[in-house]
Amino acid sequence: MSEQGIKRRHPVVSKVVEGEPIRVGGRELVPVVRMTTRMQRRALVGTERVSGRGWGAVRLRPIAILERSEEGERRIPIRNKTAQALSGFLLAAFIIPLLLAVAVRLARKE
Amino acid sequence: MDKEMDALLDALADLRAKANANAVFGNPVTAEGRTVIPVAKVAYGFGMGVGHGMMVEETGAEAVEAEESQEEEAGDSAGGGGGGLMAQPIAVVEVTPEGTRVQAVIDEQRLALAGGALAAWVVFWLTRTLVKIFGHEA
Repeated sequence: MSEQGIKRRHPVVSKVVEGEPIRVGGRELVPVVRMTTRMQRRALVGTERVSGRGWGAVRLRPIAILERSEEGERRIPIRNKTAQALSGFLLAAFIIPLLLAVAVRLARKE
Repeated sequence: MDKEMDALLDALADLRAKANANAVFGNPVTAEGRTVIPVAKVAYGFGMGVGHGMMVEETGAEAVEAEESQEEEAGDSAGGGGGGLMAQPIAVVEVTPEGTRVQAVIDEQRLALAGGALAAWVVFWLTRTLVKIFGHEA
């Protein structure tokens, strides 16, 4: 049984895009989003079978909102405070054992 | 088979089309002179596959010898797919006559779980350190 495969792997694409403006009380709010996409598809053609499969994943992360009014344009950043706190916890989880290991070394030298 | 492959490619193409920036900003809700727009981070994905097998049914050994080309091709097609979507609120945009501001939404449950895990981790390392220092001296 001979099979010939065609695999098309799309690279991870990450770009910042602006959404459609939202009008609220004389102001225009433009969402700014980081969009990351990943796709892959594959086809197999053989003498006894033909098959195809594919998958894709998209992640949308808001990064800011642009406020346009008569006074001008203002960029208001959107921060994910939960993610920031979790990153801090993770950093602490790495640093604390290192500091304690240094403490043990110092205590043994004394 | 062509139909299934077309469906696969259409679905993959549709994925990019759906991934627009407006998916993360909810509909504005106005109440008591202020407008609130929920903001979430969104992630979604899907996978699918289709297959077609060609079964070669022989009509019999004698018949094959007599007529080699007398083979009947039959086959079955099958396909399946699935997907998932995750949306997590991260902020709220509040628009008032005075101005626009972003209020962060904190997931207290996740933070509490992570904080508990970190505390357990710290206690473990602290105990280990104390045992190493004082156990060594003893």
